[in-house]
Amino acid sequence: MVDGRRVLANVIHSQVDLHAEFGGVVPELAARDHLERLPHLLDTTLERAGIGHDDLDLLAVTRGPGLAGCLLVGVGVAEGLSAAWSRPLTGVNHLWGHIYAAMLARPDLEPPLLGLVVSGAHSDLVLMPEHGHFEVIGRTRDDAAGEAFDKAARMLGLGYPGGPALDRLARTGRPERQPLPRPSLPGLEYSFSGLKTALLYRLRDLGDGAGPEQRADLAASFEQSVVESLLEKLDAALARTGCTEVVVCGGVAANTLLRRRAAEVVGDRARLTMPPLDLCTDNAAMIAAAAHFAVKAKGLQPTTVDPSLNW
Amino acid sequence: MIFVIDTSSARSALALIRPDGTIVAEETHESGRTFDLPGRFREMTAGHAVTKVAVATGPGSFTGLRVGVSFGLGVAIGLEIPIVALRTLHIQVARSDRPVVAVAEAGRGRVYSLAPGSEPQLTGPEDLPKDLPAVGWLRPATESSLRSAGVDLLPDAELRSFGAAASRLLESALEVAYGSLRLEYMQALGSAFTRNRWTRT
Ligand SMILES: [Zn+2]
Repeated sequence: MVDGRRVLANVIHSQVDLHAEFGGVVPELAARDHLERLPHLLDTTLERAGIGHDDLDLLAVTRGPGLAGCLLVGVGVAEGLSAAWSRPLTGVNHLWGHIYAAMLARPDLEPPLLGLVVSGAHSDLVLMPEHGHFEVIGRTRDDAAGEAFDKAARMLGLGYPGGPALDRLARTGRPERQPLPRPSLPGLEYSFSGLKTALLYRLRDLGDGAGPEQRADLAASFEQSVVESLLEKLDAALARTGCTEVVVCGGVAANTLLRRRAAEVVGDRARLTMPPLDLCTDNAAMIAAAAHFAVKAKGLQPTTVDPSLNW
Repeated sequence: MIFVIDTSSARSALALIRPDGTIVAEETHESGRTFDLPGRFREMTAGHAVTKVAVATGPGSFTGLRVGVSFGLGVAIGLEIPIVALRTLHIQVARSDRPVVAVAEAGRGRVYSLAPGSEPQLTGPEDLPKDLPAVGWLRPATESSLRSAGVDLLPDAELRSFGAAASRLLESALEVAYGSLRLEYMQALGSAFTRNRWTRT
């Protein structure tokens, strides 16, 4: 990464296949896979960027939030490289990374901005007044949106990862034929566990009657409830903050309905940036971008692993 | 110079060893947050060319094991030098000339143990053999429960140093490809996980 904006190489090894047979992420397997894949990923990245390690000025690594075993492997390898190459190392908040993915997509994008970070682990509304500074103004009380999609997909027999499969099935369904409650808490908080229970009961009531058509309708209805709930609070936050830049990012921002409806809800009140799919899902370029601006604003950040890092 | 890292047990140990096996420097620390592995690496290796890294791959503490192995891997990749894996309990075995039971801290009052001619196990202090002395680094509470169970835990003064033990193992330790470095696990990992893959070597 050059200047926090220009990506020379962005290499990803997805663990989706690894975890698919277990229907979800197995932490121990994930950490082990990181240890095995990182050496080759490092080689590939430097090779594709066409540079040597002597050309590096700064190393960056995610210190949290995330799975402890995985974070320890990432930070450990980064500290080893930093010592071997005598280069500084900075720790990055993974969620800041998701916001910075939008800056990679739109080089002229600058704070202040309002962000909605939606992934398998997070549903956070974030106010970013300037580079390196973030304030969470709303978050989920229970499940994250991506987690809710995964669980719903499992109930509907769609396998793992659930988000994309649910998205596809929902495209063929009609939500109004299987209405589900739309979660709505006061303020800017989210909650998706009640919706999940409603789906479970509906499926139980339908029993054998839940044919392919009903399942598609339920997928569409569930998706609509999650998306409208996410956007209701984004709408309120936008009205409250008056931001003129809005970023919707994270793995769930790949969802078709969310992409379409976010544009409608934001309308002409602000400029909406949703990173392309390959920058929405977890990647290292977004971490590098976040590192670049955080170091510029506040100097090197600690690398102490913090699985529950709270911004 | 070979840099050796063992952060898998109740004490963390580092050593710098010449290719001929003589020890340049070694030190042990209380494992935990205050132990600064990158800082110690920089200081111990200052002015020396590191040509190989050796890491203890467990079984051992969840955090410590990952910290040491991944740091060692990062150093090896960065310097483009070989890495070798040392098994935590075998290092402790090599500290004595007598037959011993090697032990390492496993938390919750339990220990990882290795008796002569057998495989590593996860046991309570009462299940350890009593006819052989034990060697290893444990938390004070675990240490006293071993003693109450009648286990003879040998003091450091009667044993070879960590560096000397590592030096012995290094004579026959094999290099591992960067992407094949594996931790030695002993904890129950849940039925879904142990069902398969786990046995993959
Ligand atoms: Zn993420």
